[in-house]
Amino acid sequence: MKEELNFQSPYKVFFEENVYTFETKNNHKYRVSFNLSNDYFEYTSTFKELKKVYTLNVEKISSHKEPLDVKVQKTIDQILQFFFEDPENSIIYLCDFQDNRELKRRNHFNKWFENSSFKNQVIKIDDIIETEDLNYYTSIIYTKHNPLRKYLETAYIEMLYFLKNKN
Amino acid sequence: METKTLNNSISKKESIKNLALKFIEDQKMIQKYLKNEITLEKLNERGIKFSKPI
Repeated sequence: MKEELNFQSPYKVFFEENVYTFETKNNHKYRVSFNLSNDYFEYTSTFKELKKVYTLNVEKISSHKEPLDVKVQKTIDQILQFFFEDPENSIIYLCDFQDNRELKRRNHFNKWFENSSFKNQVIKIDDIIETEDLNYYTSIIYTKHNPLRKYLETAYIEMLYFLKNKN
Repeated sequence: METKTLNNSISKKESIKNLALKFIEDQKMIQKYLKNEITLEKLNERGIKFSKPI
């Protein structure tokens, strides 16, 4: 069932089959999803305490280009603002490295975050896993009032430690 | 000794790459789903869960 959400966003946001959708003035459709991703922390000591660790996906459905539309970012900001109203929600992020553009993605992601409306409500931890041939840029974002914060931080630190020091 | 160190180094690189690749592949599958290129069942088969976060 398609539900219209009462957001203060430039574009109307709908929720349908676990996906947020909106359409721009140029008729470009965007779909935004949050996918439960606790399982990436399966080997950490606090895994069982983790509840709401998500990955965020934002996808423009049409492939043709459109001029920069600041209302798109503002609308996505509103969706994230809503997402962080549940203080247990958190997001993990890893820059895609398969086309060697991971550093550009990290910079773009940081710029987006700096301009976000929810920046002051959340904590963002960044890290880099360095290997001989690749750098893996990763981040975790959670609210300052997340009651599971210590479990989340422990899981994130342990996972990175495991990846950096295995063997 | 040098062989063991080399093997450990390769093993470490592989484990990082495998987890990172799984993460990236999962994201690409989700992107495909959002673009209506694959079905929800395909995602479920891979263990990817959609949920209402709030």
